[in-house]
Parts: sequence; structure tokens; C-alpha cells
Amino acid sequence: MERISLGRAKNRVDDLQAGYRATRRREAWRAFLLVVPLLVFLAATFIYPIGKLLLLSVRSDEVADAIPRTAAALADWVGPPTLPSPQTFDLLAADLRRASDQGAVAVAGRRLNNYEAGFRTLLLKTARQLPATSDRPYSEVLPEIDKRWGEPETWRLLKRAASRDTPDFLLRAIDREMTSDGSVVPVQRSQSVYLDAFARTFSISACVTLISLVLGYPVAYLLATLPARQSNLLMIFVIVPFWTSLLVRTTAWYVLLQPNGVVNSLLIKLGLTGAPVALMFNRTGVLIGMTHVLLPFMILSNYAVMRGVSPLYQRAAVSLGAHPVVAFVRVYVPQTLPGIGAGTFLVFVLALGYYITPALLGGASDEMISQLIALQMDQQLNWGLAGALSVYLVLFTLAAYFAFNRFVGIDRLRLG
Amino acid sequence: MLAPASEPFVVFSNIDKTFDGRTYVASNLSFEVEKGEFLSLLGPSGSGKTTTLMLLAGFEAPSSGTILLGKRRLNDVPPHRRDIGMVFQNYALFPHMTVAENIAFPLSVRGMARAEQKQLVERSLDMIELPQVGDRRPSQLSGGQQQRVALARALVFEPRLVLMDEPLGALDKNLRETMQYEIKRLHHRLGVTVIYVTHDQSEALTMSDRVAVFHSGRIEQIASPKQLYEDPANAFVANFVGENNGLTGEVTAIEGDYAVLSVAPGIAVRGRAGAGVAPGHAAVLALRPENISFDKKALAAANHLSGSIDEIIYCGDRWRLHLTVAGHNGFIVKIPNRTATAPPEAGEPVEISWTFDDCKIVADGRG
Ligand SMILES: Nc1ncnc2c1ncn2[C@@H]1O[C@H](COP(=O)(O)OP(=O)(O)OP(=O)(O)O)[C@@H](O)[C@H]1O
Ligand SMILES: [Mg+2]
Repeated sequence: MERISLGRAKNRVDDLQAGYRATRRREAWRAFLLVVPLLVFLAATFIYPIGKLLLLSVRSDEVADAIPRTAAALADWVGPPTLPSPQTFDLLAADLRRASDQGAVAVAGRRLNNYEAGFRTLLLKTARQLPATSDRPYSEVLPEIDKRWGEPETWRLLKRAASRDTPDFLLRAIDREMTSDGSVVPVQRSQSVYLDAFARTFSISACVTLISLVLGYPVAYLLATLPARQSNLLMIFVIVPFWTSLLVRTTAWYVLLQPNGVVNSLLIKLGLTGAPVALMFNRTGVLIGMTHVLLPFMILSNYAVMRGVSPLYQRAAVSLGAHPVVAFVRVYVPQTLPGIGAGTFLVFVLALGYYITPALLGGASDEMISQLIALQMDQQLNWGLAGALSVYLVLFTLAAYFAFNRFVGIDRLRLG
Repeated sequence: MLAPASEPFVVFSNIDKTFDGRTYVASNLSFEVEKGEFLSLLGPSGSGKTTTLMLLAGFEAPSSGTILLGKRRLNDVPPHRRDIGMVFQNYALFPHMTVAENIAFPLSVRGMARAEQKQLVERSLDMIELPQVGDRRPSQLSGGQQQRVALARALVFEPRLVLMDEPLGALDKNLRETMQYEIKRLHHRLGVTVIYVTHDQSEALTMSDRVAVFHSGRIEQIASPKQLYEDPANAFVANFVGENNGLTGEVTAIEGDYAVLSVAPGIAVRGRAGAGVAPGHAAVLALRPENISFDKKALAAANHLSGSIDEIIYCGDRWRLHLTVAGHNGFIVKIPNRTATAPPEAGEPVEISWTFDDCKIVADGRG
């Protein structure tokens, strides 16, 4: 008897669980179907291109595609101080001939230029001057066209560039390179720019975040505690910048911050300074411009949370004997932590990728990492390095995300 | 426990309060509270009860008049220095702190040592009979438990005065009764002075030493529950506290302690005369439904009226009858339910009576 009823009870529990799981599965499917259009859109316009760019940081196909047989032969070459085998010279000549018909030499040359300036010229010159046929071995002909073909170092670079998978860009993006014996060393002082740029990006973003917090938190508090009519009016002032183009706003600062601009005239009129202060093309300009653009995010994130915090708690704290300031710090501020977290996270992450404002208002020593990425992409045409820098920027952002999640909790984030 | 005739502890004298400069939310409030007393503020919504508490707690400043607490003028003492415990209607427990941290809050802002805080918190948790919830967040407690914690937090720093603003308003009926008892128990045990806001009249009557009935920013009457119920000062109090058969009419004569009220042509009733009742003026009958009898044998010194029964409602412990008397319908009579006795039937004409002393003729209130 006992056992039978126990078994029945177990069956009922199993049925219940099965039913529960089926319901959950149906819900999951429904949720999935609802987001399918967005997923497709994101995959096509965001995930795929970004993935592609990130992949570029470890892929290098141009050279291997242009001179495939040379690349294969070089893979077996042990490297300096010897030269590659004479056959490799022949293969290169043949490859170059074919590649120049297809216009692939220029593409490969551009890639090689990422390794050493002048390599592109070397390749183009060689392809141009290559005799149609030759009865002498190319291990003699090529060094005659340019003596660099007689140097193992040239071939070593060619071999590195011809390998399809490469760590070079990822290393270069943190100012490192791989020597011929495979060890990783810092690049020359004069060429090391990216670590500094990352540090600068971090510190500018952190400064902007801090300034936004200090300026934005009180405003959000005011917005959340004022009567509705005044609060709505004030809110317009916060939101109007959102309706204005980023470029327009930055240009406006460009005008305002000039040595004989409005701000400086005002400072001089007020007697705060004798001569114009440099407010532009330096860190000050970048911080002013970026803070102005990002402040609304900070205000709105905090406001959204503060609106839900009843002023009653502060009253309760005061009635329990806390000075109003103590009540604010110990009772109000902790309840707005999700807002502070969200605002800080949002502003910091947006600042990490900032581009236009530092480009227009900053000086040479205020370049942020996005500017360098853009430089690599549309001037140096070094997509591999651009991709590698992007990889680190993405990692950086993810780190910020996890730090935020750890300290505040993403589930406590409210944005409306 | 009636207020002993010692020094008053809280004194409101001639307090006026206006938010907009035109309407008075509190007007010429003057009352005193004895040490250890349980005073309830009872009144309809918007009558100024919360405002009175806020004036005392210091979150609002009086427009004129003075408030004394233990002989000290309160007007210039900032709220956090007043040492007044407060319990809010929706508890206002700090959601980001544990229960123990909530209770320790008033101690920690007073700079008490941690060990001592811990001890007091434990004692408070014992006092509210929730010793094991210290580590939980307020959101993990039931409404009644949260209310107890709020109570403990308001009492832990041994304030001289505790204010409670409809502390049980959000609880269901059964829980509310338990908590009423709990609050009374704590009040007796700690001997603290309590000012308690409610708009539930039975709560006010059962818990308080005295009740102040508020109406439009004034106190209509401040008295013990018994006095309030049996000896209302005016028509507002008679009608607001408990149920009343408030027949209206004109006073025709004052005879000693009694007044005669003409409630319909040819029909007059006699009752104790309230203050301000004068011949030729309108007045209201204050007559509790349970004082009316259907007894056929004539009561001595009693009013006799005839009427008809419109409706009979069974309430378990009693019957509730709606009558038409002297041309007024809605006249209420309550008779105790004795299982073996059949109640009167609806539609029956009946004779009702009540003694002169069981009713009062009160002035029609202000304006
Ligand atoms: N901050 C304020 N500004 C303007 N008017 C107010 C303010 N606080 C209260 N009042 C007004 O004062 C009057 C009394 O309010 P109060 O809150 O004291 O009533 P109450 O007796 O506590 O009512 P309830 O039972 O509904 O809580 C109301 O008419 C209210 O509108
Ligand atoms: Mg109120």
C-alpha cells in the first residue's frame, strides 16, 4: 500500500515537471520567434561585419593569394642567415608575372608595406622590370633588379607576410613584434604608440565619466524631486542636445572655445584671466566636448532610477535621528546605485569608442584609440592592424561590462 | 488609563498651518498630551491628521503658534534632533539594508558602539517576536512582519514620543487586529507616549486613552473613547464616531439638564442637552442604535416613537434593522441575536423607545 502510493506520488511529480518543462519550451520558442527579425538584421549588419573586421587581425591573405607558390615554398625555408633555394626565386618571378597581369601585386605590396616601408615599391619595381624570359637563374636576376632580394631579411619579411595566419597585428597593436627567432619583444620606442593610446583612452574615458557623474547626479536628483511641471521643463534642456547632431555640437564648441571665442572673452571680462586660456586642441577641449555630449546619458540613467526612490525614506531616516546629509548619503545614494552604475557604464563605454569630438577638439597628444583605428583603416589601409586594435577595444569594453556586472549587477540596470 | 493631572508632555498651543496662504490645514489647534498617554487622531481624509504629525516631527513648520515637547519649544529644533520615533503607513524600511541594519540605523547615527548596537537590535527583535529575521531584507518579510520591524526601529532608540501614521492601513483585517494588540502591549510595556493617526474609528476607540476627532483642520472633541461615544460634543462627532440616528430638528425648550427637540410636526424627543444648545436653534439627536428597545412595557422617563421596519439584516451576533421613524428613513436599530427569540418581521409597524439619558441633543456643529 505504502509503496504504491509513494510511486503514484512520484509519477505525479514527474508529470508536473514534464508539463512545466513543456510550457517553458513553448515560451522559449515564442520568445525566440519574436526576436528572429532583429537577430537577422543584427547578424547581417553588425555581427558579421564586426566578426570580419576582428578576423582581419589574425588573417593575412593578400600576399599568399598574390604569390601562392612562393608562399608555399617559403613555408619550408628555415630562414636567415641563409637565402631561400633558387627554385623559390624562380617561383617568385613566375608568381609576380602572373600576379601583375591580375593587378594583385599592388594589393600584396600594400600589405607588405605594413611590415616595412618601401616594400610596395620594391615589389612593383621588380614586377615591372622582370624580363619576359630569362636563361639565367632568377637567384641572380632578382638581386640585380634590386639588391634587397639578396638579403635574407627581405625574404624573412616576405615569409611572415605570406603566412595566412599571423599574430603580427595583434602584437603590433600592443607595441610588440616577433623577432626572427620567434620571441616577442617591444618595438622601438619611436614606434610604440598604441599602449599609450590605450592608456590615454582609458584615462580620458574615466575622467569624462567622473565629471559627468559629478555634474549629472545632482541634476538628476533635482529632476526627480522637482514638481512635475518644472521637472518637465528642465528635462527639455537635458534632452535638446540629443536632437542636435553630434558634429554640430562639437563644431559649436569649436567656435566657443577658440582663443578669442566666447568662453575666453568671458573669462577675460570677468578678470579671471589676463590672456586667453588654451581650451582647444588639448585635453581640456576633449574633456569639455565629450562631457557635454555624454552628460545626458548619465542624467537620464540616474533619473530613471531616482524617480522610483520615494523621498519618504529620507524622511524616515531623518526622523530616526540622521542629519539630512547623512540620510542622503546612507539612505538615498545607495538606493540609486543601479542608476549610478548604469550611467557610469554607459558613459564610460561610449567614451571608449569616441572619435569625432577628440579629433576636432583635441591636440596631437589626445588621440584616442578610435582615431588610430580610423587612421589605419582609411589612410594607412592597414586593416589588419585596425582589426587588431578593435579586438583590444572590444575586450576592453567587455572587461568594463563584467566589472560593472560584478559591482552593480546588470539585472539591476533600469533605463526607463 | 485616563490622563493623570500631571504636567503635560506635548503641548500644541494655537497652531495654525497653511500651505497656500489661503486655506487652513490646521487652524487654532490647541491640545495637550500627557506622558505615557496613547492619543489617537481620528478624522476623515484630508482633515489634517498627517499634517499635525508632520508639525510635531518637524517636517512641516507651523505658520503660527508654538509646540512644546517636555517643556522645550520645538519650533526651532531640526527634525533629526527631536528624538521622536516615527512609523509610516508603508513602513519606509530601507530596502538596501537588512532588517538588523534597519533597526540599528537610529543607533548608528547616534554613534553607538557596534557591540552595543548588536545587543539592542537583538533585544528589539526578541521584543517583536521575530528573532530570526535579522539577516533578511525587508522585501523578504510579510506585511505584518515589516510593520513590526518598523515599530522596532522607531522604538529602539528609546524616543520620548512615538508617532504612527496609519501604521496598519495596509494590512488585512485579522492581521490588523493582531497588530493593534501588539502595539498596545508594547505601549504598556515601554510606557512610551504615542500619538496614533487612524481613520478607523474602532481602532481609535479600542486602543486609545484619548481620541482627538479632527475635522477640516480643527479638533471637534478630544476625550476618552467612552466619553466620545456616549457623550459626543456635537453632531459631527456623533455622526463620525460610531453609528448615530441623527434626527434633526429645532430645540423647543430647555428643561434643566434636558432639551426638547422637535423632529417632525407634533413629534418631540427629549435628551441630555449638549453645549451650545438653545431654544429656537437647530440641533441634532445623538442616539446610538443599540440603545433603542422594542420592549412593550413602558420605560420610565423615555421617548416613545412609532415607525415601520423597512429591512432586516442578519449580522451573526445581532440583528440590524432599518426603520422609518417620524418620516425619516434610515433609522437604525441593533438588537442582540438570541437564537431562541424570533426577530420582528419586515413591514411590521413597531413601537420603539429609549430613555432620556440614553440620548443627547447636540448642536448642529459649525457653519
Ligand atoms: N505638502 C502639501 N502641500 C499642500 N497641501 C497639502 C500638503 N500636505 C497636505 N496638504 C493638504 O492639507 C490637507 C490635510 O492633509 P493631511 O495629509 O494632513 O490629511 P490627513 O488627515 O492625514 O488625511 P488622510 O486620512 O487622507 O491621510 C489636505 O487638504 C491636503 O491636500
Ligand atoms: Mg494622512
